[in-house]
Amino acid sequence: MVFRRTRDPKVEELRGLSLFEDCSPKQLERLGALMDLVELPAGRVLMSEGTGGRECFLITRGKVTVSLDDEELARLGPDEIVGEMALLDNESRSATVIAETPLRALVIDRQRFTTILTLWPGFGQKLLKVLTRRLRAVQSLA
Amino acid sequence: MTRPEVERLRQIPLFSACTASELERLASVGSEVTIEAGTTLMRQGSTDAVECFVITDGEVSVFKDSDRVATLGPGAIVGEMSAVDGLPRSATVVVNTPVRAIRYSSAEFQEVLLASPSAARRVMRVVASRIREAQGSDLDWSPLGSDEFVVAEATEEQSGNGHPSP
Repeated sequence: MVFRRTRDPKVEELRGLSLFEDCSPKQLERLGALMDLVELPAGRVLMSEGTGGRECFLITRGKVTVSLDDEELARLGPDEIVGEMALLDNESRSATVIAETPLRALVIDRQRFTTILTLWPGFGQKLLKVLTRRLRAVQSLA
Repeated sequence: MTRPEVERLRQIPLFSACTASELERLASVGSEVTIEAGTTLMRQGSTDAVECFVITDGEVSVFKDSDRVATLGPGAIVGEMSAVDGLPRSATVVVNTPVRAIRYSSAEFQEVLLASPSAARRVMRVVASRIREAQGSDLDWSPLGSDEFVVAEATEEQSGNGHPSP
């Protein structure tokens, strides 16, 4: 009996993410093909406020620090997304994000981000929830 | 055949990038309402209703802690935060002039997001701009569906792989 089993590491990483929890294994495979898996060292700057943005990161392992004007806004870890705002509105990066520990992340570039939003409306629905949570958090700081 | 409801939807910036079949589907979601001037659409802190409104005519004011923070008109969406997360209203919205709007229950709003990726993206863009505003960046509360966005979306660079910056 042949039991076809892909061991795509990207699919393995995707499996744990709530943004894609409704996706079938087949969909995860197609999604994985639209992303790159990266390992980054602690201290790496993922993005700097005010610069242009061309990708977002889905963190699957490790932690990042999000700051604005040298003030820490948040610490984010596995199952969080960073960098999506500049892809949504084509404005510059709204914050600086630095790897606090060694990091594993799935990277989605601008074009593929749009593709994923179009092909998986559930992703947009969940991402809106993430943004709403962040808006409330920022408003409560203001 | 183009139904008048579909044509009306197409005029709304939130839906202007929708395909014909998306518009057909959206035409049966939500209800058109007329609201008298002076009505309080939602009250900050309230948890009693999780509907949101897309304004098609008229003007509303948004208040936070009794400060007026915005005046919004046709094309604007209000109440989407609670419709998304069910948490208390973050602001009070009062109707300044007679308003026509499409009202979506929380469930209907989720249906809109699923039916139209372009509408979902525009709502996300509105929320993103409010985050930027709350963070104090110098962007204005951007109007929904401004045209430069459509252009930007259409000309998105065909860049290569999404490598992180070196």
